[in-house]
Amino acid sequence: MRLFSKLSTPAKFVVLGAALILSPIYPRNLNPVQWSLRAEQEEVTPGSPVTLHLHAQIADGYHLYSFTTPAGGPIKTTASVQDNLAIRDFRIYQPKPNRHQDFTLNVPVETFKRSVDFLLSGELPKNATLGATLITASVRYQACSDRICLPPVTKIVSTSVIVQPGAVLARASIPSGYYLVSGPKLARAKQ
Amino acid sequence: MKRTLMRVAVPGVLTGLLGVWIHTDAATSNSKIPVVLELFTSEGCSSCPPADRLLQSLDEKQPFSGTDLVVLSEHVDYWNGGGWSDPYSSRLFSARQRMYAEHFGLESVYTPEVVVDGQREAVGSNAVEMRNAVEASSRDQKVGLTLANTFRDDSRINFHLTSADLPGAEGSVTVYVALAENKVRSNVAGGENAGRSLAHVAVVRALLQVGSVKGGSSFSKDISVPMPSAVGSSGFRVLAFLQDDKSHKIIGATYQKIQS
Repeated sequence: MRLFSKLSTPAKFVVLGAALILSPIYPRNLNPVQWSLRAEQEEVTPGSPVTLHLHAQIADGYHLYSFTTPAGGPIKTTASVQDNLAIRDFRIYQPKPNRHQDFTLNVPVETFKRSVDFLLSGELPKNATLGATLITASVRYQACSDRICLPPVTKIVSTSVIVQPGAVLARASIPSGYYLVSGPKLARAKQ
Repeated sequence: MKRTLMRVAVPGVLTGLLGVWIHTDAATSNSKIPVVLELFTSEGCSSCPPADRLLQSLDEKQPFSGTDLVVLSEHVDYWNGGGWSDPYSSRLFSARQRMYAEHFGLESVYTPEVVVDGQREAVGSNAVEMRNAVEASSRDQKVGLTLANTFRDDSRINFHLTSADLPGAEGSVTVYVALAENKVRSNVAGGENAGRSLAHVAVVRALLQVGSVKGGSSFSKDISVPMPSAVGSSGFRVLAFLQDDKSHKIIGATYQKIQS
C-alpha cells in the first residue's frame, strides 16, 4: 500500500484498471477445509470418558455440509474413528448448523461456514494399556462455494492421549447446543 | 496534468470497466481461429447451471470476431451416487479432467471447470477469465483441420478428416473425434439439482482417439464412428481436434453440425 501511495495519480488508475482485469473474480481455493483433531485432556485415566475436538477451518467463501444435511442434495459429512483398543464407542456431536432452503438446489441444506468444532466422545476401558495412545479419525466431506463445488474427499487426522492412572478424572461434557448425529460406526483398521 | 490523466487514466479505467465481451482482431485475417472450450460439468452439481448457460450463449452468439469457439460439454461422473447418475456422464470425462488437473498442478478437480485449448483453465461460469483465456488462445497459430464428405448411414457417421502439415520435426499429436448432441434438456431426478430442468449444449456422447501425427507430417483418413444412441431432435455435431501429447495444447480444431 505504501508503494501504491507513492505512485502518481495516472499510474494508480492504470494499476487499478489492470487489477480489475487480471484479478480472478471468483475465489478458487481447491483445498478450502483444514481439519485437525485435539484431545480435550492430554492425560486420561482408565475407565474415564475421552472427548476429542474434530475441528474444521473453512476458507472464506466456502461452506461445509453438516452430518445431517438432508438426502437428495449435497453430500453430507461423515466421520469415523479407526479401531483403537484403548478407546471405544465414539459418538459424534455437532453444533446446530445453518439450515436453510437453497433455492438453486431447491432442497433444504445444512451448512457450516468459517469454522466448526465437532465433538467425538468415547470411553477408556478400565484395563486400558498405560502410555501414549494414538487416535486416528477419518472424515469424508464436500465443500462448495457459490461458484464451484469440489468432489467429496477423505482426510485423516490424528492426536494422542496419555493413559495413566491418577490423571484427573474427565467428565463427559457435551456443551449445550450440540446434538448427537447418526453414526459413526467404529471403523476397523485396514490390515 | 489533465492531458496526461486523459491519455493514461481513461484507457486504464475503461479496460477495467468494459463488459464481458470484447471483439478482438484475429491473429490471421483470412479465416477464423478455432478455440476449443471443454466444460467439465454435471447435472448433479449445483454450481454448474450458470456455466452451462454461459457455454450455450458462447456457442450461439460466437461473440469473438475472428474466432470460432468449438465447445464441448463433458459430464463428469463423480457427482453420481445415491442411486442417481447423470445420464451423460462418463468416467472417461472425469479421467480427462484429472489429466488436466495434474497438468495444471491443481490440488483437486472441481466443477464447473472450463479448459481452453488444453492450455488454460478457469471456473466455467467466470466470463471474464474465460474471455481472457479465449483472447490469449486466439493469438496462437493453429493447424488447419478439415471435415469433408460427411454422410450418415443408419448407425454410423462417416467423414474424411485432413490436416495441414504440423509444425516442427519433433513430438506428436493425437487426433480426437467427438460426437456431441447439439442441445439437451433434461429433468433432473437426483443429485444437487434434483427437480430442476436443465439445458446443455454440445453434450459429448463419444470422444475417441482416431490417430496420431508426428511433427512435420499431416493427417488424412476416412473416419467411421458409431452414432450415439437416442440422439434428440436438435441433432448433433461432429468435432475433431489435434492435441499435443506432451503439452496437451490443442493446435487445431473443426466441427460440423448435422441435423437428425
